[in-house]
Amino acid sequence: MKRITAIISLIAVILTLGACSGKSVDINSLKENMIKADNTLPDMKTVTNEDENPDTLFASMSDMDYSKIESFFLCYSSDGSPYEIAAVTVKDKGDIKALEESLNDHIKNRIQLYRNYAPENVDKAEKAIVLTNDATAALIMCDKRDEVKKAFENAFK
Amino acid sequence: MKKSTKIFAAAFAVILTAVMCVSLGIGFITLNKVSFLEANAEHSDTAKENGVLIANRYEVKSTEQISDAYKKGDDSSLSDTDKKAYKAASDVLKDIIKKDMTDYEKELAVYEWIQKNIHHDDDMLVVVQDPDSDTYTPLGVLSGKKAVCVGFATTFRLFMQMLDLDCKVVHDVDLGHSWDLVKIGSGWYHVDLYYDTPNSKFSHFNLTDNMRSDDYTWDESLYPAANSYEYCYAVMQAESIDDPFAIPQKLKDAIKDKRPFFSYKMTDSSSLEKAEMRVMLDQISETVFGTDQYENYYFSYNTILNGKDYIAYASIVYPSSEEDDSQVTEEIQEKIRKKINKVFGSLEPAMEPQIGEAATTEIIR
Repeated sequence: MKRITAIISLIAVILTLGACSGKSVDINSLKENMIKADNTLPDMKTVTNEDENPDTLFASMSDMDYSKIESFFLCYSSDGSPYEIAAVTVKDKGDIKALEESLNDHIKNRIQLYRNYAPENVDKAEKAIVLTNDATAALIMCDKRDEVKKAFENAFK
Repeated sequence: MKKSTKIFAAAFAVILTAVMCVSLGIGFITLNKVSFLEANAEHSDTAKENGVLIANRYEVKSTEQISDAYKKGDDSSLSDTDKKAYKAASDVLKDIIKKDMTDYEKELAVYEWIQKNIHHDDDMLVVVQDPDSDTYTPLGVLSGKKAVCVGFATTFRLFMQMLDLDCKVVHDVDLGHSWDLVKIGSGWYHVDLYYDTPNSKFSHFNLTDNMRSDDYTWDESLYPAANSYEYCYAVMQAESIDDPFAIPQKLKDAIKDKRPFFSYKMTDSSSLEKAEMRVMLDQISETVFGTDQYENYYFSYNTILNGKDYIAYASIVYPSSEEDDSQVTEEIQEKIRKKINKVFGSLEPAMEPQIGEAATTEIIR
């Protein structure tokens, strides 16, 4: 009886720990596929979690605590025009909602910045979307938004 | 105890220990999060002049220690960074401020120097900022000659305070933009050098609260009221006219000279004349600046009643030469039309298809 109880407890603990972790997707291939999906992008720069000071780079698009982040990439136009494609994977799937909110906040901040200093960009920035799948969220601000969205969704199939 | 039981007990103990370690780790991370939130809490209070984050990235920082040192003539108490700012700003003032200048003349000299020598930071819209770039403090601005709105505002404020003139940095309620409020004589005036640089000189120089509120809303309880016309630029520069119908030709002449700001006044004008001035500007905005030729011009205007004077003021932001379609004169436009007609023939516009009919295009040769 004691043995059975111990086994059941052990299984319960393992399952609990397993539930906390997210399904991870290869961020580099996700990046390649998403960027490739829009062939009209202007000159872009890219930063990832593999760069120096990744927490500072990450803070450019989200105020979420960087210690909760598994991996990310952010691809953005070099001249500040409204083109951004990013994906972020969290360590704990429970944090995905908070991540989604922070990315939406980032879009709002960009819209406000454009409203003040480049109003011709507001329209495009307002069409940006954030979507999630499992433990990964994507931010898409570009002309071929639907194609990039499809590339993101396909990565999880 | 049986061997198998011991193994299970050991495994259970290991798992339990691992879970406790994870819990402790989560607790540690939570504590860090709290520290992070506390560190940023100071920016959540925006009912103040300094310590506010504009556009979510540029902090407005006080420079009173520098201006105080300048007024004392002693920079020994300043940090190395502040000493550099002190020197850079002092060198500018030495060049542009003359003895016996009035406060207004000093303000104007500083305004014109910044408007001419400091440029917009073209990278301010880029998502990932260069961490070594500083275009929002006076030292960064005076060194690199580039500024974002906070850079223009804090640099102008530093100069004003060094000259012992009251000046505050104002931010809008959305924390998207900042500019200056300066006291000249007994009145306060808004100055926005970001928007006046490079092609709109004087458009936002010494505005009243009413004039400023056309573009932005700010917490007026934090700042003194700016309702004096004494040094309001639009009032000081207003050219007297006898007839509102003189405005179109004057405006055209001003555009030819690429003047960015104009102001006209009628004294003791009737209500009809006042209405004519307003409608005149409305019509100019619609019929002139609504055309393709002036598509890339930005025209803004308003009116002020100052005692017996009714003043209509306007500003124009001119496009760069690459975007300026007004270079294409009527003669050139006619030449273009003739060429197109010669090559394509005179084309009739396509007719909208009626229900049950196919659209046809008739080409007349």
